[in-house]
Parts: sequence; C-alpha cells; structure tokens
Amino acid sequence: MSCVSHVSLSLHSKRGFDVRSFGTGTHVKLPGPAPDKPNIYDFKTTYEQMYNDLVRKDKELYTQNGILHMLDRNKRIKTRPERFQSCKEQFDLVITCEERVYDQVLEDLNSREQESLQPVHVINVDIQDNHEEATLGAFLICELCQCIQHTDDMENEMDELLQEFEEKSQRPFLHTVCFY
Amino acid sequence: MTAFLHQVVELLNQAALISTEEKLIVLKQVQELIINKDPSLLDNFLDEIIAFQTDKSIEVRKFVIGFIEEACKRDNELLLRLIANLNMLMRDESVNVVKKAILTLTQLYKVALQWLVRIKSVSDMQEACWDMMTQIKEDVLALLDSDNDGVRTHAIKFTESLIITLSPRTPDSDTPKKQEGDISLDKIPKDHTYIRYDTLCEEGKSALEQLLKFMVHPAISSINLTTALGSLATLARQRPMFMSEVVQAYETLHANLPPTLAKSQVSSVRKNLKLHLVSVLKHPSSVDFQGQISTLLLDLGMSQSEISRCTPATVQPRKRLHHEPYVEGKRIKMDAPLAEDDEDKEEPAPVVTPKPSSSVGTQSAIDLTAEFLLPLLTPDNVANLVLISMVYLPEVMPASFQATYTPVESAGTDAQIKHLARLMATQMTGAGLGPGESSSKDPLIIRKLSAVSLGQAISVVGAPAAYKSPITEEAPQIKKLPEPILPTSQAPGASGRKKVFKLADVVQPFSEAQIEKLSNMAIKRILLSEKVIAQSGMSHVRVKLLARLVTQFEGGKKNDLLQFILEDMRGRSELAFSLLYHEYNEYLSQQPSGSLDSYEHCLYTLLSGLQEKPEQRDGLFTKLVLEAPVITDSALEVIQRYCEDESRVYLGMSTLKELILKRPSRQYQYLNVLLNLSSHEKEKVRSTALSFIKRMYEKEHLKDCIEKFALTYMQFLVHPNPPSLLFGAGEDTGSETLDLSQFSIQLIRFMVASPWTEETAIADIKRSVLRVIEQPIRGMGMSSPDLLLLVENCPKGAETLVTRCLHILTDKVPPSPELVERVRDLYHKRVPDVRFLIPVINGLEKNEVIQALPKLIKLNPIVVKEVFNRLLGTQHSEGSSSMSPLTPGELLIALHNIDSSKCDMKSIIKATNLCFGEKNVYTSEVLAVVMQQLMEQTPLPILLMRTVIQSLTMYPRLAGFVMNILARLILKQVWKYPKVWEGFVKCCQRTKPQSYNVLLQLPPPQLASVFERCPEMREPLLQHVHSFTPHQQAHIPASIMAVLEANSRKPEPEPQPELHHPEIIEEREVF
Repeated sequence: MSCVSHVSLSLHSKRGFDVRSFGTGTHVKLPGPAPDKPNIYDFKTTYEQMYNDLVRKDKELYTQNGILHMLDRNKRIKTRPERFQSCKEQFDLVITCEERVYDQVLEDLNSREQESLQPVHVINVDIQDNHEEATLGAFLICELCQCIQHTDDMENEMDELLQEFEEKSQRPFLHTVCFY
Repeated sequence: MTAFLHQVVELLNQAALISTEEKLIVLKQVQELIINKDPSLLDNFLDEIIAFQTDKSIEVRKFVIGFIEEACKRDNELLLRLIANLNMLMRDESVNVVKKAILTLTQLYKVALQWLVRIKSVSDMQEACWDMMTQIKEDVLALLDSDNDGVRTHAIKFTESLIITLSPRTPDSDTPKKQEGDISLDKIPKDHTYIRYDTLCEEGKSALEQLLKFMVHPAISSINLTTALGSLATLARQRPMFMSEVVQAYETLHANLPPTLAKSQVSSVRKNLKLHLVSVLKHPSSVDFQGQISTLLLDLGMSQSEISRCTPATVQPRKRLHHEPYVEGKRIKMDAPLAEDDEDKEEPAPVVTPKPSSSVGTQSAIDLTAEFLLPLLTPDNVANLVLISMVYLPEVMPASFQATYTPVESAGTDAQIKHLARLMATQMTGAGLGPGESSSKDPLIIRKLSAVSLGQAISVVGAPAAYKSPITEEAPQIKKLPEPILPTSQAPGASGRKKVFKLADVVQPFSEAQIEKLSNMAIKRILLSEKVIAQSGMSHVRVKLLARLVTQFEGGKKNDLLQFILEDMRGRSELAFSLLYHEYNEYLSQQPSGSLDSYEHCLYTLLSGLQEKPEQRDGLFTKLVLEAPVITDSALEVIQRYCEDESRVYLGMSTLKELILKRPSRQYQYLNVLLNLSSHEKEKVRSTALSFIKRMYEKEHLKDCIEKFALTYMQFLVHPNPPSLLFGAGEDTGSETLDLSQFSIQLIRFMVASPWTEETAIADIKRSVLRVIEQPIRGMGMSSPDLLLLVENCPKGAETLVTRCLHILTDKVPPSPELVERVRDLYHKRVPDVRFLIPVINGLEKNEVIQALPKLIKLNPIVVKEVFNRLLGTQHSEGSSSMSPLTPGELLIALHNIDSSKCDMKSIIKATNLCFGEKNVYTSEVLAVVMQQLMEQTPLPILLMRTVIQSLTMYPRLAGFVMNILARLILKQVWKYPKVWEGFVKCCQRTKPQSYNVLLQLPPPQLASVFERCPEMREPLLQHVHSFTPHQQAHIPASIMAVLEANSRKPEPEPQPELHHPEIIEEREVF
C-alpha cells in the first residue's frame, strides 16, 4: 500500500499498514514566509537538512505553522522524501490526495512498460494541503484503508466500498486500475 | 553443489512445520536455490515444492504458482508436467489464487507457444500440453463472465496479451523493450506440424471480438471498463492494425457510457479515456483517426492546443492515402476557429469531421452512415426525432449524461449538424442499422456491432437494455462451448452481456397491469386471512405487514384496505391505526417535500366512514381523532359534521374540546370550529357549543380568541346591512349569533365602547339582542365586575339594554348591594329614570322606595304591576318578599301619603287598587293596621275613607273595627277634611244600621250636614232612636234630637251638595 501526496507524512500515523509515502513533483515544496515564496528542495535533501535549514531561516515561524514538527516526525520515519516516479516497487493500492497528483501517478504508471500485469488500484481523495484538512483527510483515508484491509477480496468489493465512502464523506473519489 | 542440496533439504523440512510467513521466506529461498543458483536441482525437488499447492495458506499456493512460472521459464520442458497443476490451481477456491494463476498463464502461454514453435516434430505429450494450454486459455476468456470483478480484470489483461501474441507485429508496432523477444503471430511458421497459423490467427481475432463485446456490456463495472480501455490503447499502440476498431470502440463508449456508473465513476472513466486517447494519438499510426480522436478529446475537455501538442509532429507521409484525409480534417478545423473558442469542453462545434476518402480502407460503417444521414437532418426531421424520443426518456437523468451534458451552443451550424450525423451514425451502426452497416466489408466490425444490438442503443437513454432480446437467455449454453466462437453465430451477440448474472437479464418484467393485479391479489389474500392469523396469535404481524405494504402503493389498494377496515371498524381498529401511522411515517420520511395527501385521504376516509355509520360505537371516533398524528383540514370538516349531528353533538364537541386542549399547535383552528358551531341553525348544537365555549373561556390563552370572535359578530350588529351569516338559516333572525355565553361580557364591553345605541341598531336586532341576552347575562351573575361597570357607565342610548340586564339579573334572585349601589348612583347622578330602580327596588332603603313611588306608579300599568309584585313578593320565586324594604302595610300607607302635587290621584288610586288586588297579602289584619295608622295621621290622607270602604267591601267582618275607626274620626273632627268627610258619610251610609250609633255621636251641625247629603238617612235614624229605652233616649242630646226631628217639623229644601273632587265622583261610581 502506498500513499502519494505532498511531503506531509501525516498519513503515516496509521499503524498496522504497510505504507510508503511519496511526492510526485519534481521538487519538494514546503510553505515559506508567503504563499508565493515556498521553500524548495530537491529529492536528495534529507529531512534533517530541511529541518536545519528552516530553523536557521525562521525558527519561530516554522515552529508556529507546524512544519518543523512535521519534519521532525518525518525524519524519524525515513531519512529523505521519495519520488513516486523513481520507485520501482510494486504496490496494491495507491492513494493520492489531489487530482493533479492522481494524474501524475496515472501518467507515470501508464508510461511504464507492462510486465507482470499485476494490477495496482489508484484512488484519489481530494484533500486541501493544510494541517486541518490533512488531519481530517488522514482519518478518512485511514478508515478507508482499514475497510479495504478487512475486505476478503479487495478488487471485488472496492467499487461498492468507494461508493459508500463517497456518500459518507461527500467527496468525489477518483478510482482506476493500472498494471505493472 | 551438495551444499545447496543439503540446504534445500533442510529448508524443505523446516517448511513443513513452520508458520505461513516463515514458510514463505523459506520457500522463496528454496526457489532461489533450485532455479537460479543450481537449476540442476529443480527436477529433484519439483514434486516437493508442488506439494505445497494444497497448502491451506493462500499465500503459499500463490507462491507455488509463481514457482511454476519461474520453473517453466527456466526449463520449458517442465510445462509438460506442470501445466496440469496450473490448470488445477486455475480452479482454486480462492480468487486471489485464481488471479495469480491467470497472471502466470499470461506469461506461460507465450512461453509454451514459443517453445513448441521451436520444436520441429511435436510429441504426443507436447500436443496434449498445448491442447490443455489452449483449453485453459479458453477457460480464462470465459472468465470475462466471472462474477468477480478482480478476476474479470485479470481476464481482460490476459485477453489483451493473448491478442498481441496472436496477431502479427508490424513495423509500426510500438513494442516495449522487454517484450521485444516475445512471440507473436508473425513468428509462427505457417508450415508447423502442430501449431496452425490460421487457427491462432482466428483465435486472436476471436479474442479481440470478445474483448470488444465485453466493453459494450451495459452493466460493465467501472474498473473493468477502465482496464479494457487501457487494453485497447495497448492494442492500438502495439498492433496499429487494430487502430480502427479501437477508435470506434472509444467513440461508441463515449457516446454510450454505461448507465450503471455513478457520477464519480463517470469522471474516473472519462479521465482514463482521455489518458488512453492521448497515448493512442501519440502513436504515429493514428493519423487516419486524428479527426475522431481530437473530437473525442475535445468532448472530454482537452483544449485544442493540448491536443495539438500530443499529435505526432507531422507526419512523414507514410502512405498518401492516409495523409490526405488528415489534411482535409485540418482544413475544416481552420475554417471554424470561432466555434473552438466557444466550447472548450463539450460538444465542440465539430470542427473536425473526419472524412476519410472512400479509398481509405478503414472507412467504417459509421462514416458511411454519417454521410447518408447528413442531408436528412433538416430542422423538421430533427424536431420530429426530438419529439419521438421524448417518450423514451428515462425518469432519472443517468450520471453519464449528467457528466457530459453542456448546452449545444452552435446548434444549427453545418459543423454541428455533421457532428450530430456522426453521433447518430455511431448509434445506428451500433444497432445494426443504416447503409454503412450493410455495406461494410469488415465482418469483424459487423459482428462486434451487432453484438451491441438494439439494447445498447437504448441504454443511452437509460432504459433497461437486456429485456429486448430473448436470445440473451439462451446464451449460457452456447458460451460454455470451448471451441472458438463461429463468426456467423448469433450467440456471441448475446454472450456479450452475460458477464455477470443478473436476474434482470433472464426474467421478463411483468407488465404494469400484471404487477398491479398480482399485488392486489397478494394483499387481498392477506386481508382475507384475518381469522386464521388471529387464531395463530400473529395478528400484529399481519397488521404491520398490511399497513406497510399498502402505504407504498397508490390508490386502489389503499381504498380496498380502508373499505375493509370500515366494514368492521371496531374489530379492525388496530389495522386502521397502523395504516394511519404508516402513512404519516411515509410523509415524514419524504420531508421536506413530502405531501400529506395520502395520509389525509386515509384519515378522512376513516373518519367519514365512522361519521356516516350511525350504528358505530362512538368512542372509536374520538380515539381516532385524538390519536391521529395530525388533524388535516378535511378531517376537521368531518369532525364538524359529526358535531352537527344532533344525536352526537355532545360527544363530537367533547372530542373537539380535547383537541383544543391537547393539540396546542392548532388549537385556534379547532376552537374556531367550535365557535362557528355556536351560531348553528340547530338549537341543540348551538347551546351545546355555547356551554363548551364557556368552559373553554376559562382557559387564559383561549380567552382572546373567543372574545375576538364574539366582537366580530357584535360588529355585524351595527353594520347597516348585517351579513346574512349573522342570521343563519334559523327561524329567529339574528338571534343565533348572540347566543354567546360567559364571554358575552365582552359583548357588553363592546356595547359600551361602540356606537351601539337604540337609534343605530336595527329594531329587529335590538329586540333580538334584548331577548337572547337573558341566558348569558344570567350566567354572568350580578357580581360580574364588567356588568357592574356597564351599569355604572350606562352609555347613552343603552338604557333599555341596561334595564333589561338588571331585570334578568334580579328576576330570580334579590339584587346584591353592589348592584344596588351602582344603580342608585346611576339614578341619582346620571340618568334619573326611575325604571332603573325597579329591578333593584328590593335592595333600596325604605325611604328611597317611598320617594320613588310617585314616579313608579305613573309608569305603564304593567310595569307598575311588576313593581308591586316585587315589593309585595308576589313574584314567582320564593323568598324575595322577605327582602322587601316595605311591608305591604307600609306600602299602602306610603301610597296614601303621596303628595298629590307629585302624582295625580288617579294613579295613586290605581296603585292602591293593585294592592287590594293582592288579597293574599292584604289580609284583614293588614288592612286593619293600615286603617288604624292612617286614621291616626294628621292631617288625614285624602284616600283614607276610600280605603276604609274598600277594606270593608273585601272583609265585611271588619265592620266593627270600621265603626270604631269612624267613631275616632269624629273625635278628629273629620268634617274638616271635605273629601274624607264625604267618604265618611258614604261609609256610614253603607254601614247602616251599625253606623247609626256613630252618627249619633256627631255634633248636631255635622249630623245636619249628613242629612243634607243623605236625607233618606234621617227617618231610619230617628226610628232607631225611638227604639231606644227611655233611659237610653235620655242620653241623646236635645240638639241632636232637634236635628233628627227637624224635618218632621219643617222640612227644609235640600241644599246642593258641595262640588266634589272629580276623582271622588268617579270613584263613587266604582264603589
């Protein structure tokens, strides 16, 4: 199972899932002092480095908006962010939190040469990239994953499950299947 | 090498004993060892590993399949041994194992084919192996119809791979690097001993056909559809020879998105379609189809510039034939740039109408049909088409339509008509109609499209597609045949929509009438089973069931049930209530748009039924009304009708009262019904309503409402033309409205405040008011502060009314001091009309009465009579006489003492006559006392002697007493009062001979005066004296004797009597 979203690894909070998080952009973007001045790093930068960089730039601001806290947690999970397109492992399920990201994932998966024909389901749940929405969304996705986990036959029950969630959460879900 | 051997043995021994997770790790190690590290061991341990195929863990079984794949790839010969195992695992009970097996088969099919092709002479074993492989392949294709979504998905991917394998790779094929070495049809030698090129070719085509059929199933799941879309894109890129079919399939799908998809699924599918179209467009061989693809992409929301970016940068004219239509398409695009701007999403004024020239072999049936249709699309024809298709519109807008619809802005332009023609051609071809269909040269396409058949076309408008074709039901048997499906067979057409078993596919829906009839019969059976079920003690279940069922139906069944209930309302009341509650529940569940109609109908029918059946016990009516969740207007009408029924008026109004008290939300509405009934034409209804209203009036919150109602009616009274409702239909005009009860004080208040006077009110109404006011006023009692106020303020013109009120109040009970006080005030300070005093006369002081008497007795004789009745206590009620401030005697004396300047004698005489008329009151004793007292007065009352004579007439035995009076009058020199004297004489005249002794006591001049008046008295009196004893005679003074005898000596002429008072003369005649 894999979650593709921004660097926010808040979805990591769910235990008991075999989860990996990825970014899909060309860079890692973190909020900056203004909306048009994000902090941009490449995927080689470690969380540790980002953390130190931000502490140096404006410790108070980044403590207040929670970015430092997030990076601190992330660095304990893994050393640096990963880019989905660069990951060659196979997953059963990819969840994205933004339609743009969903499109990128689909494009990437479809551009790969098919080999094993192992299916991978891709689901998009639109979540605004802010702390509150991310937390709400995290619960929603966590619940979704738990439900999927409990299905006897994920592929067969997925459609119905998503319809249910859609109705419950009042958000439209995008869902498709790709093949490795 | 031996080290590996031992290690494998060791690991396998472990594997038999440990948990699944560890087992997998161990087995993977074994696999690594015997396949990659030392393949020579593979054969040795094959059986040991395969033995795990019966392991109870799914993961282990999946591992075995993976192992089979790896082993066979490593050593193709193993296929001979393992194919059967794979076949077995294909039938595993776990879908996950089956899916894994399909994935493996996808790989091994190619491996097997490649392996066999290499072998020049094929052994029996190898033939059997290939036969089985072919069999399994067919089985997997059949899994396109599996019940399981995931299995179908895997089957689609297998089909995709199969089609690629069984079709020739061409130079324009876009083959992934890893599959460069894969076998394909072009590598099959046509002279192979066992593998037949033609057969494989046909199998490949058949597989494509099945895939295309699968795609157009109206109930395809979104994931299957997505998978198939991807497979088609892969096919188009790897086998451009199928480009035409793929693009057409995309077109058909786009115009016919399955109606079963949810809204978000439609978005997902459209997104996928766009993605795959782009990937197809990028392929160089798409040139012939760029027009169609661009149109689709525009429809899917891609901008023209984006599309251009994905179009392969032009375009080595590989074939001129292909190039030309492309250019043509481009030109048309340039012609209509405006339309592009307008619509960057939907239904672009289709700019791009691909017109492959007839020389292009790929011109499809759709193209032909579109060309055929174009000139036919005149405004008239189109309008007719729209009208006709209105009939077939589904009730609910399908999500697919909703997602794709935007208003057509460029309607009527040539470009739009062309686009429309093409859309219709797609549909018609799908339905197997049109010139293109019949002339198409490609049998594959015909078959595929006929598979779509009528049903698919109809599914566009959301109608159930599968019902149309009876062939559908025969499909399964044909489908099970392992042989490749024959191109001429009709069966494939049907099999296309047998993917999932759906009851709807195999059963015919009943007609409306049949459904109606069957459900009616079912309900009737439940109805009639009443007794049987009651015996089994399950009535409550039946009741609930009936109510639930019937609530969901319209019309007929409800009426049947209601009728059934009404046949025995008492016995079936539970059913009635249950039905009512269910109806109400139904209404609630449809909030906020729900309608109460159905509930109202139910309640109305039940209530009217009860109301119309006179023999029903009535408790049920009340119960129904009080327990109904809501009383609707029509129900209220029934209740009103019920109240109007004289035999049930009390019960009806009690129910109404309960409603008013217990349903506060609409109590005013209920109250109004009750109020309106108070002016009902039927007396009983009216009076009952009034008594209920009176009770209601005690509730604080209802007071206002009742008062307003009363006032409204009161205002009608002063209206110059009273509205007819005031009069009702009753006999006594106008009175109904005034039958108001306790609250009529408001009426009084109103009168106080209003210009209601005797002048303004119409005489009829005034009379009515005075008449009907009695009941309410009596109800109020004289302690009512409002009444007292009225008396106090008695407005000008309302004297009659006030008087009437006073009369009513004091009719049966003596007046209260408060009332008397008010009246006294009124009389003295404001309106000196003595009539006010009459009702309270017994409450006045003695002297007040005496003062008022002169005025009172001047009134109308009837009134005077009433006054005397009151004073004398001769009214019908008991006890009031004791209250009179005057004793009868005192009254009579008072009358005598009235100053004649204040009252004419005639009235006084009449008044005294009234007294004498009451013989029961004026007994001889009373009269004696009166006379005694009158006689003792000085001066003597004028009427004294008249009264004496009256008394004597009434009671002759009073004669002795009267003589005594007369004697004492002489002492009082009665002759000084001319009128009394006259009466005195008259009395003596009447009372002779007793009066002789009195006469003799008169002084001589007075005696002479007597004789002057009554000369005939002298002789008898003289004789009377003569009859005396001498001794007695000696007591007669000589002067008297002289008077007695005067006449005998010298008769004198009789003097003329004095002029008498005219009244007395009159009275004399009465005496």
